[in-house]
Amino acid sequence: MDNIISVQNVSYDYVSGNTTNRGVSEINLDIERGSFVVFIGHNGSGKSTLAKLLNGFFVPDQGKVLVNDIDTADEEKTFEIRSKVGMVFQNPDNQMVASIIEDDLAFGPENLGVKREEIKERIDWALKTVNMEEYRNRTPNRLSGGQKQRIAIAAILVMKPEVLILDESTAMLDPKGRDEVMDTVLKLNSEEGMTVILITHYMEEAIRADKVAVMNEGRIVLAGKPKEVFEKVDIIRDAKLELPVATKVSVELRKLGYDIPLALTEEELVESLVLGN
Amino acid sequence: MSIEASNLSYTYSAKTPFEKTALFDLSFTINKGETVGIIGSTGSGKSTLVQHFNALIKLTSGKLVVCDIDLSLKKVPFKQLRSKVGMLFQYPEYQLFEDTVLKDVSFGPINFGFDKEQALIAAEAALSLVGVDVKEVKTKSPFELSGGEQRRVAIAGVIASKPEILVLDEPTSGLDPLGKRSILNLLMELKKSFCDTVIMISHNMDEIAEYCDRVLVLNEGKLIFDGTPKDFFHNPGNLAETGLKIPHTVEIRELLKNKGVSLSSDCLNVNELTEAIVASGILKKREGKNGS
Repeated sequence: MDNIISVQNVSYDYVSGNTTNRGVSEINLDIERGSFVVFIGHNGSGKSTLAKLLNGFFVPDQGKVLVNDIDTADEEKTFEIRSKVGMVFQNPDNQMVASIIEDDLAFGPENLGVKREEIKERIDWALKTVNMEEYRNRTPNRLSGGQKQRIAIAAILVMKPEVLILDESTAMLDPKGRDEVMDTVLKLNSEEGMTVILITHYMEEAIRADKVAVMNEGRIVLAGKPKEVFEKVDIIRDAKLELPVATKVSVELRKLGYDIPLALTEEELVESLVLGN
Repeated sequence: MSIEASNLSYTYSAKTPFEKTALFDLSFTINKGETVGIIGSTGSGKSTLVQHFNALIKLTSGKLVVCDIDLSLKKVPFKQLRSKVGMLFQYPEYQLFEDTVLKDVSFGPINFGFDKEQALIAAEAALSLVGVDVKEVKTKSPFELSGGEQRRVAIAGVIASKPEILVLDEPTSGLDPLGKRSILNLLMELKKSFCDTVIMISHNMDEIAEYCDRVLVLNEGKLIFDGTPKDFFHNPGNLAETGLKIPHTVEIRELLKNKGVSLSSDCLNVNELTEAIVASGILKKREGKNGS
């Protein structure tokens, strides 16, 4: 298997003064090149810490993280790793640097020494991908939260990363905005072959993943295909997560003694309800 | 009557090249005791509208009366207005600033003219209302707290001055499912004490369907619906143009309807939906078939 990222027995704690707060403990995880992986967990479960370990933002206290077989602890390679693994955070305001969107998008590739012509092409492509072409010459201050987030994603895309990490990047968007971002992300994954790691509270966003990792108290408590994961209702509940509505309804009906399969989506649920009628 | 708006319009950067009309001719009334959801896609004018309620945005066109204060007057008593209308912005934890939680929460009451002692009492009361461990937390820096705790402390900062109306801009965004639920339950608790009217902006339709008595729906600055969540979500035609999505429960009901199975309309949450599916009798046959 071709793994773009390999996490090997990694632990990381936050130490400030004489207090230590748990980050993540004994994480083992392989991320296959070109796959779509979702981390879910409640606030404080360690998913953002894990994400920040993947691009060398944090270096493990114990164990190691390999990106394209390069150890993230190798300080000389930090730059190379960060240009391969792009990260979009929850609040886009924290990620904007320029007063005109085009300049904001050019900031990253300019720093990498990309040629002017190519920067222009990349900006065209990135804005088109996030559906914000007409905003090229505007200021980010006047955008709504959802629009800003799409610009923040475009600002990472222009770096042409191999891995895109979205750390709760859809949390501030409206439902349509969330769908647009999800569609964009899935398109990048399926058409451009980009490896995508999505961190979320929304189980709905995990449905289409190749692999789902459920985090609780700094550990991966469950990992596998969405269906395998969602079946473990008790572990999901212990991890303080909520199942998608369709799954909840199918679980409730099963509890009442009806023999229907576990559903991940509304369509699946309805399909199984009308089947045999 | 808590809020009465008639023909309210607003244009950003009027008479400049950036001129953009954000609100068109809105008229509505929000009554005391209601929980009102304001929904609409990003850029539909929700935040612009709620910022009018405590005059963070100055009324420029139309009429607006909030807690019997007429905002179209030349001299609006801002301080009085703002002590009556508590406003919680999106990601309120970013506004925490003091070096201890107690100081942060008492900042509001002090500003509204409480003396120091009263303000501290009000702050402690607010902190215990939002469900944080007051003794444990009050001397800590707000930045040592977890995200969920920070949000609670920020809410405490607003309710410490006992507003009559609480306006919240996406109070649950960024929280995990349990955090969301506990914030919403907290709002319902607050309604039982001093804060009669709660107005919240949300993108979470499941939340709106479950917690609000009424929804105001904005689309491109226009008020396109004012009524109960049930009426709104059960008429999918309403949603087509707004960029919103129906709650999952309603979507399941609609999909079933397309397959010729009608459920009773009372199913905005999982339990109601499960009951309605059982009541429809659709599953009996299947159970019989596989029952042995």
